[in-house]
Formats: sequence, structure tokens, C-alpha cells
Amino acid sequence: MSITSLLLVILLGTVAAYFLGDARSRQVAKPIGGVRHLAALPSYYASMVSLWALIPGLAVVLFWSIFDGPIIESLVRGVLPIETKNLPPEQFGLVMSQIHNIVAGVGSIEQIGLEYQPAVQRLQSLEKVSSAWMPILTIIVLVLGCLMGLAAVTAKRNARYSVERIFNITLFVCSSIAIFTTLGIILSVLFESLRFFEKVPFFDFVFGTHWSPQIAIRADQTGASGSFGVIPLIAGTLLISFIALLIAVPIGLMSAIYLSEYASTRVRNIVKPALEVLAGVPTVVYGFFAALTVAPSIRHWGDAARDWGAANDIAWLAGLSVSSESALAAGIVMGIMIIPFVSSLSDDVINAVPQSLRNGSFGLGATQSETIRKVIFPAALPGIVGGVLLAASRAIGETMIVVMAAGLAANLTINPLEAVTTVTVQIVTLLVGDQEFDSAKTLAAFALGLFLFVITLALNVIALRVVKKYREQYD
Amino acid sequence: MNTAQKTNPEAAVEIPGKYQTVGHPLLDDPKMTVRSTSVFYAEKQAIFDVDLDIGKNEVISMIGPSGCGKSTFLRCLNRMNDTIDICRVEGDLRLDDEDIYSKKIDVVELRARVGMVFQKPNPFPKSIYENVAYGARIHGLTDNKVQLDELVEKSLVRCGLWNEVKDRLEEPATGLSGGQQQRLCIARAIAVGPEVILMDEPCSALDPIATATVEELIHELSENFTIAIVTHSMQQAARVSQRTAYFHLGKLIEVNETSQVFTNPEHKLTEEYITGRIG
Repeated sequence: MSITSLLLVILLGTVAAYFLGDARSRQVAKPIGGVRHLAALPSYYASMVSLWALIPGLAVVLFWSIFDGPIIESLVRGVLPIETKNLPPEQFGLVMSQIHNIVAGVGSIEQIGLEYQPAVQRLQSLEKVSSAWMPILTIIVLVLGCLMGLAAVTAKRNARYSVERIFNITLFVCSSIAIFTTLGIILSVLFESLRFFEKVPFFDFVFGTHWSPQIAIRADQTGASGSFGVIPLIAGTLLISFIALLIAVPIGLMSAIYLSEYASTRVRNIVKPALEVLAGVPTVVYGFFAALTVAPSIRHWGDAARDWGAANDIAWLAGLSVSSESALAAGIVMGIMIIPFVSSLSDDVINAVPQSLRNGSFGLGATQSETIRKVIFPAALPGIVGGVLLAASRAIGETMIVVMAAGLAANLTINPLEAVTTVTVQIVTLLVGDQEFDSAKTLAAFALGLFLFVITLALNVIALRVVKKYREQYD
Repeated sequence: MNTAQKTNPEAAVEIPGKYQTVGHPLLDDPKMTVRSTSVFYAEKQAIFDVDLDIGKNEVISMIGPSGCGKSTFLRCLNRMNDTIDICRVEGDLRLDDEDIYSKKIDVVELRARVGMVFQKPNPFPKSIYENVAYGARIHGLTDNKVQLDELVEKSLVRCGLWNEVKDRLEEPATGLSGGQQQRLCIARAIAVGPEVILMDEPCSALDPIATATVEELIHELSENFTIAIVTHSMQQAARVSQRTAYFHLGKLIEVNETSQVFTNPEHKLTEEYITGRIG
């Protein structure tokens, strides 16, 4: 019986236990004068009985699947020839998997040698026992649990307490899954980063101004020593994010102000969903929009400006060079991408400013724009700052647009017309391709990931601080 | 909306389509005049054909059951109803014989001349000083910091708030008590130098002591300002106002001297309201 069908059986058993519990509690209630004389409602007794059946049943399946393999393996190991037992772990594993294959019907015993015959037979019989007994044991436990649960249905026992407690525990487990996952990711990134810092000194990484992660894979390779200075990547990331925010914050904020304060209901009903569609466009689509439309036109205009500058003897313009992949193109498109974040969040906080403040301002003879500038905007500022920082961490983490439009060259520059690269793009390129996993090149990806995590974490902490500070002042 | 209607069968007394306001709605030398004024929210009519004069330096109170249109009427007087999309005002409303709904009038200037204080204290999330200085700043009433300081002090002194807040002018206004906040809102309104002050239930969110302070203030302000106050409290109307207007289901039923309205009302509906059978 497969695990899936066994789980189905457990589910059915649980449902049955629920109805049995319900019936039992009503039966208990009858001689003492009805349901209201029970300590809890019948549905609680029913839930309790079904939990009594469900939890032990699931536990058996879980423990069996975890310990089944190792126990069978150690039993099979006992009947292997002595020289096989002494093999190094990798070769021993190979033999074991060959034995498993033969049991599963792949290959024949003659191919690996008749001395493994007893082991194959042992494995066969054990697996048969295991697959026969697991369902039986599970069902026995399930039925026993159900019976014990039914026995616990008495008028005095309050089933509500145990049901509520289990519900509580379930909720707690679900909420801790997110926390433990985050913790696990941080720890794994941290440990891999520590391995990286054994190979490359920490300060060379953090303060290095040159990024060229090519390292020699074979001893006879030359010329690629690898340098891991993170500064150019950070500079590129910040440059692109800065351009993006320069586009997104004014446009997003002003459209939010228009939508919440000026637009008629009809306009608002059309424009707001349209803006939100922008948030639904996949980033890869933005990416090729940036690479195929925006970047070439920037280059085109740049060239035109250079030619014009050369013709009119304007030295700085004549020397202008625009690369076909530029931070500007990526930044502009990324800015367009995060406009809906800024506008939608700002719209919400502006709408949350109480109408009484608007009335107060209008009542004193303020115009609409004075009211917005002097009353509504300051009152909504903490929320707006929060929205902007959220958009900023979104921009810093964005990868696809940058890969396609800003290039891979790690230039340390603040010229938006040159190709730059970002932390996220480098993580992708480091991990793509054939590479030993413990080389400095691959491990650098983890260090970059850690670095990025620290930056966005710092940004979030600052955002929370700012919001809190202003909130205290205004409420 | 109108619970009074359901709980008191007397309130449903039929008022004929064409009705006559009893008492003395018109004056000889009015500050504001309101003629044949009706207000509609979309298709629903909230105010029916009201004629009323508001005298110079008088305090006139508007009373009536919930939903009778007294607040809506008050908001017509400085065109606050403009901020509600579906609201439409018809009729002839004048301030010093100037049509306030005419195309030529600047709403901003009108609201500087006809100030408003709201039901719930609504100080801006700024410092106490900035709250009072707000109107002066947007209307450019002062030329320098010294004049502005003087204006702020004068306004706060008039509202009896100066001694309580003079040491903490830079602290957020939201930290003041409810009564102080409401007096700050009044200071904010008079700092602009209005001629008329509209008050929409200014004491309904305040405790009795704060209410007494604000009523005292209204009394003092009436020496220089014309005040129209909407109130739910008949005692308050009796205490602060010279004339009282009784509204019922959007119609102006009776306008008379306050003492007469409360001792010897002319209209049956007014009598039922003040004796507690409606409302």
C-alpha cells in the first residue's frame, strides 16, 4: 500500500472518528438530560475523538518512513560478505544501491556476483514485511486511538480544552515554520560565507574596488587570479536603485496624490486598476523592454548628442560615449516597474488621513494644494517613507532587468551611461555554469547574498525607525 | 438615519409642501442673508426653501432633531458643501450683500471671512504654534516673524489658552486635552480674522467643564464676531444665543428670540421638540 493511499485511509478514519465521537457524545448526553448538560458541545467531543485517531496514525506513518530505510539497511549489512563491509563508504553505497536495483527488478544478480545473493533475498523479505506491516500497524493505532478517544467522551470532561490546545499548537507550528526557514537560510548562507572568507580575506571583500571572479580551475591555467572586491557591485546596485527611485518616487507620489485628492470617482476607477496592472507585468518582460527598446534609444540619442557636440565644438559633449547596455536604461525601466508600489502604498496612507483635517484646513480658507502640502502630506509622511523604502528594497533585489539591460561588467563608476552590474546579477552568473562547489568563485555568491541581506535588513530597520519616530510625533 | 421619526409618531406630522416659517426669520440690518435656499444630496433634498437672516454680532443657534439639516445648512454659509461631490445648493446666499455662490467670489477668501469650528476638535498634526499660525501663513496676514508671534499670542489669549500653553508652543497640538484642542481650533479660526464664525456642535465631544469654558468663550467672542452655532443641547442654545432657529426634516420651522423659543414657542413642532417629545 503506497503512502498516498495510506494517508487517504487515515483521512477517512479521522472523518469516521468524528462522526463516531459526535454520536457517542449525544448518546452520553441523552440519559443526563440533553446536550446542555455536557461540559462541551458535541462538535468538540467529535473533534477530540478524530484528533485522537489522526495524531497517532500520522505519527506511525511518519516514524515508519523515517526509520524504515536505516533499519532495513543495517539488517541487510549483517549478511553481506566481510570484505564488502570493509569497503570505503562511497563504494559501499554503490553496492547497496546495486542490491536495491536488483530487488526493484533492474539488472540481475549475476552482474554483481553471487556472493550478494543472501543480501538480496534478505532485502526482498524485509521490504515485503515492511510494506505489509506499516498499513496494518497504522490502522491498528488509528482504531485504538479512536476507541480511547470515545472512552474519554464523558459528561464531565471538557473536550473544548484539549481541542483548543491542539488548535493553538498547530497555529504555533505553522507560524514558526516561516521563522525557522528564514533562520535556516541565514545560517546556511552564513556558514558558506565563512568558508568563502577563509579563502578571501574579509576586508579584501568588503573594501576591494575590483571585481573579477575568474579563478584558475586547473593548475596550469594562468592569468585569472580572481579578485573579489564588492565595492563596484554595491556602487552599481545603488546607482541603478537610485535612478529607479528618482523615477518612481515623484511619479508614484504625484499620481497617488492626484488619485486620492483630485480625481473624480470615474477617473479613479479607471486609472487605479490600470496602474496596478503595471505591477503584474513579469520582470523578464520589463527586462527585454529595457534591453530592446530603452537601451538602444538611449544609445541612439547619446550618439546624436555626441555628433552634434562634435559639429558645434562642445568638447565635453563630443567626448560622450554611451554603451549599449547602461545603468540608465535599467534604472528607468526599474523605476517604471516600482511606480505602482509607491503609488498604491502612498494612496492608501493619504486616504487614511482623517477627513476632519482636510475640513479644518478648507475651513480656514486653504486651497486644495495648500491643504495637501501643509497638512495631508506631513500627516501621511511616515507611511509614504515606509512605501518608498519598500520600493527601494524591491529595486535592490531586482535581477532580471539588470541582467538584460545593464550588462555584466563590474565598472566602478557613477556615470549612468556606462554598463554596470549589481550584486544580484553577479550571484546569478557565479552560480550558473560548471564549477566546483567549494571554489572561491561559487562561495562568493553566498557572501554576496549575505551582504545583500544585511543591506536590505538595515534598510528595513531604518524604515521602521523613521516611521515610528514620526508616528509618535503626529498621533 | 432619522430615529426620531420612528420612535415618535408625533414627529411624522405632515408639513405641507409650501410652508411658512413662523417667528421673525428676517432682520433689518443683517450680516448674512439666506433666501429660498434648498440643498440636495444627489436626488435627495436635505434643505427646503429656507429664508433666514443672521444679524451683526449676534449669536444664533440652530437646533432640531438629528438629520434635520441644521449642519448641512451651516455648511452652506461658507461653501464647505463644495467639498462633497454630490451636494448641490440652490438659492441666494449673501454676506454683506455679496452673493457668496457667484462665479466671481473666491472660495478661499470667503472661508477666510467665514471661519468654521467643527464638532470634533481637529488640530493639525503640527505644533501648537503652527496650528494657530497656519491660517495667517496661507493668507499672508503677517510680514515677519514678530508680527506672526504677536498674532498667535493674541489669538491664544482671546481663547483663554495662552497661559496654559505659552511654555509649550512647540509641542504637538495633539497632546492637548479635548477642551484645549477645541479652544485651539477656535483660536486657529479667529487668527485669520473672520467676520462670521460657524460652529458645528463645538462642545459635543467635550466634558461639562470644557463645555462651560467654550461657552464662556463664545459669549466673549460675540462682542466682535457674528456666530452661528449648531447644537444638540437646548440648554447650550439657551445659554449662548440671542436667537434660535428650529429645523425639522430640512425645513426651517421657527425663528425667534431664544427666550421666547424656550418659554413660549409659536409652532407646535417647536414645542414638542423643546418639551422632549421629539428628538
